[in-house]
Order: sequence, then structure tokens, then C-alpha cells
Amino acid sequence: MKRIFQTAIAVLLAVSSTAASAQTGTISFSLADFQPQNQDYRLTLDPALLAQSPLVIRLSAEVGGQGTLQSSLINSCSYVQANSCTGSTRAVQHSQRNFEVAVQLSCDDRELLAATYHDSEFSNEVLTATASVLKMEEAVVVQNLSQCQQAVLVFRRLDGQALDHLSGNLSVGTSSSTAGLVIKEVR
Amino acid sequence: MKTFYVLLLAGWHSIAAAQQLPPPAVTVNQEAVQLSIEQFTPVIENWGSRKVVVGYEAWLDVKASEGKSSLLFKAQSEVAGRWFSANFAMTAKLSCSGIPVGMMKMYGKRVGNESTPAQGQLIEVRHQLDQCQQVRIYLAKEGNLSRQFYTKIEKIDFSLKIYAETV
Repeated sequence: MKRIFQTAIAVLLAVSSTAASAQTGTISFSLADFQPQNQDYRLTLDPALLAQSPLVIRLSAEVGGQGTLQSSLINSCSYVQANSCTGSTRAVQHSQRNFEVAVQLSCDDRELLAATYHDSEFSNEVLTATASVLKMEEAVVVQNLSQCQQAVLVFRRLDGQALDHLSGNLSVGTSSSTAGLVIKEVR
Repeated sequence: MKTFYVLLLAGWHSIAAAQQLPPPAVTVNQEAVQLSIEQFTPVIENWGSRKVVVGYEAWLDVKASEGKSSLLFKAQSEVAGRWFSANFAMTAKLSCSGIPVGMMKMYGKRVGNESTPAQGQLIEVRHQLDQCQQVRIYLAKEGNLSRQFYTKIEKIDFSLKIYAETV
């Protein structure tokens, strides 16, 4: 009787272990997978993938678009004292390029991962290239996520403009012992 | 007596908050200079009857830059907001004698009870800096005036080093 009981426990452990490992995986995505909604690019995920604790999430993505460019000659002072120009004034080239993208992974109302990346330039050279590419690498450990009804991955440019390119993958698992994984946060 | 101590403490706090230190000079090819929030001047705008700190600026004299038209600028910044306003964004812009040098975007985060300060790094080579005598560091709060009003910055750590380039 004792042996049968021990065998039953062993089978149950094997099943639960298999069930746990079945929740790990990687989702690859590209721009075509995302649903544009207002200024967001939204990808609905299988919530079962995230409903475990602890949950180790790794996001690797490349995001591209045309940054906004501003360029003008501005009269600038070479030396300021007490808010007054005491130096010489001359026209100086001011050029600025900006490209900012925020990423967020959420489960129901809970934010699991959030980060903002930018490619910005502020220069005295005349800037003409607008194309910008951001490489995103994020890893977090999420605790106490007992259930998840709706999981969404969202990318959004802060200026509301469109993205030209979006690709990457989202890996989930329960182990932090993955090569090359630098965990930034516990959530 | 207790009231006296409370008033004394409140007075000390307001004096400490108002106390500002002059920013140091930065010398080309010398050690990095370190700046704290006390060395930045708050930039204030009016929002109705309220005064809003929309950013912070510091003007640093540059020494040993004569005859050097190409310079390498290296800056690092860490900005922390009060716990209730730790989700914020800031832009740091550097210019030298009115000539644009570079900018960095920084994002502070609050998750649960933990706040992560906004951090940024800037490394830029700039040419045609014929008279780089004074660096201006301008840290601007992002967002509308309302958001800027409620974003309370309590700590700034900023370092700047300038190298001469023989380009």
C-alpha cells in the first residue's frame, strides 16, 4: 500500500513538472502580427503562458522608424552671466533628431514589463538622416502572478508616429539561469 | 518649547532647500566634475497662480579650451523623483557657448514601493567649437505643465568630463 502511494506521488510530481515546463516558450513577432490601435501597436498573447510564478520574462526587439528632425539657425550667446549675455552673439546651427519608443507587457491591469528607449541627437551639424533603429533588451522576474485573463504586448512611439519596422521575440520561463540573461527588475 | 523646535526645524529646512552652490568649472583633459541638485538652478514657469519647476540648469566655465575646436564630451546623469512622482521623463541637453553638444533622454520608474532613478549617458564629439568657454546643462522635465508640476525631483547626480581631440 505504501509503495503504491509513493508511486502515485511520483507520477503526480512528474505530471506537474511536465505541466510547468510546458509553460515555457518563445514567441517570435514581427510588425504584421501587431494590431494598430490609436497610437499603439498591440499584440494579444496567450495568457496561459504568463500565468505562473515566479515568471522570468525576456524581451528582445528591434524597432525602427523615421525620427522627427528639427533644424534651424538660432542666435546664441557665447557666455551668460546672471541671465544676461556678456559674450558675443552669433547664429549657430541647432539640429535635433528624436525617436522614442515605449514597450509594455501587461496582464489584465498589471504591468509586467515596461521600458522606454530613445535615439536622440542634438548637434551643431546639419542632420538629414531620419531613420532610427532601437535595439531593446529587457528581462524581469514577476512574482505572485496567480492568474492572467488577458495578456498584451504594446509598442508605442511617444510622438504618436508610425513604426516602419518591428521584430523580436518574447521568452517566458521559470528559470533565471539562461545564458546572456541580465535581469533588470523584480515586479 | 515643542513649537519652537518645530519652527526651528521648518526654518532650517527652508534655508537648506534654498541654499545653492555655484557649479564648478570644468577643465579640458582634467578629471570629471560632479554636480548635485544644489548646483543646479531651478527653471520656473507660471501655471496660473502656481510656480512650476519645469527644469534645472547649470552654467559651468570651461578652462583650457583655447585653440581647441574639437572636443569630446562625456556626461552621466542620475535623477531621482519623490516616491509619489517617480514615473517621469527628463531630457538633458548640453551646449557649449551656445553651440549644441548633445542630449540624453532619461526615464524614472516606480514599481510597487520601489523607485528606479532616471539614468542617462552621453558621449559626443563636436567640431567647430571655436570658443567653448561655458557649458550649459539643461535638464527639462517632459510632459505638460501639470505633469511637470507634480514631478518633484529630489536628487540629481551629474558628471561631466571634456577631452580635447586632435582631429
